[in-house]
Amino acid sequence: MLPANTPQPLRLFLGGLYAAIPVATGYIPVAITYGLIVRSVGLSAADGVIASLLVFAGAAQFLALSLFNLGTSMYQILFAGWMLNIRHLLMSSVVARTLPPIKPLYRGLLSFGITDEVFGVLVSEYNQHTPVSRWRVAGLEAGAYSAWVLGTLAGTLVGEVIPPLLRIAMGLALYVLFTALVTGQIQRGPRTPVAVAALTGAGVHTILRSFTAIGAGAAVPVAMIAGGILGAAIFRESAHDD
Amino acid sequence: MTINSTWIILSVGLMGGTWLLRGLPFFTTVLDRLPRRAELFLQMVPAAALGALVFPDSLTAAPPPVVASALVLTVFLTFRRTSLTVTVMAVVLCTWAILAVISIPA
Repeated sequence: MLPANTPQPLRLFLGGLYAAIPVATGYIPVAITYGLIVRSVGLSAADGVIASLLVFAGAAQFLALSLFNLGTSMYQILFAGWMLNIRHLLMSSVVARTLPPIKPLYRGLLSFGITDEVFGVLVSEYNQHTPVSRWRVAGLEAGAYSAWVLGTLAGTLVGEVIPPLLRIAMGLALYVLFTALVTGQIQRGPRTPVAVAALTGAGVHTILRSFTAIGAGAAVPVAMIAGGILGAAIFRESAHDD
Repeated sequence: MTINSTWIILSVGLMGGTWLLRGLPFFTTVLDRLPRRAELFLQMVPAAALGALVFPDSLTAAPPPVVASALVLTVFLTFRRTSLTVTVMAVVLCTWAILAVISIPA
């Protein structure tokens, strides 16, 4: 419980930090794994931590590490990494609409931390029609960012000491978080269109990844678009029922 | 502690592209003038994205029956209005327990 005279921005920031706990729980084992791989390919702890500090995009960092280790050219790695992150364009389009008008400096800073998981939490709050304060977003992003960077550092230094089974269980935390978020969205409705959008996204992504040579970088945006289109179509047809 | 300059330049490049993609929608007002069809699309995209982020990758994070148990428990707890943080913590601990039990040799 915070003292009554706690400034409102600090309250909101701390609320965002609390909301980041599930995200951080999922990030830490992944970041530790990243740190371990960084060392295993011959890079230093500083290389790993600097990459996490600068990029803050797990999938792209893993991709870059893998291609770097294979001796791929920098341009190819950059292109692949950017393509993988193109989904963030769509995610930021949604998040930008949840915020009140704020200064360009704040917009720039907050946009840095729009990861898949931060997006998931923010979108869930937006769908509840809760006003999203920039301080709350900053707290959420600070919590997630700290977990990612510190997890990377831990992985480069002491990753081996976490029991392997706990590491596997913690690795599921991100998927648990996504599932809880989408279940909450379906609960709040309109149930049928949201459920159809979620199932379409999952189905299209699974089909593309299982039966084609398309990687996650291209498959996720395609699945998002397919789910969005189908969900929107169903929404219009069932608008009178919901 | 050594630093690999090629790796750092690569990281800076990745940061630039990623931040640009994340930041661009924050600096354009195009989204305020969207037609109704696009509005509906953007309303549905988050659920589609979350679905795509769960499947199929979750199935490779642990043995599929364990993943399925974890996700079913998650849906159950969410429908019971359990908070997000408690849900994640509870499911991670249960999963750890399940993994410990099934890894014990019979």
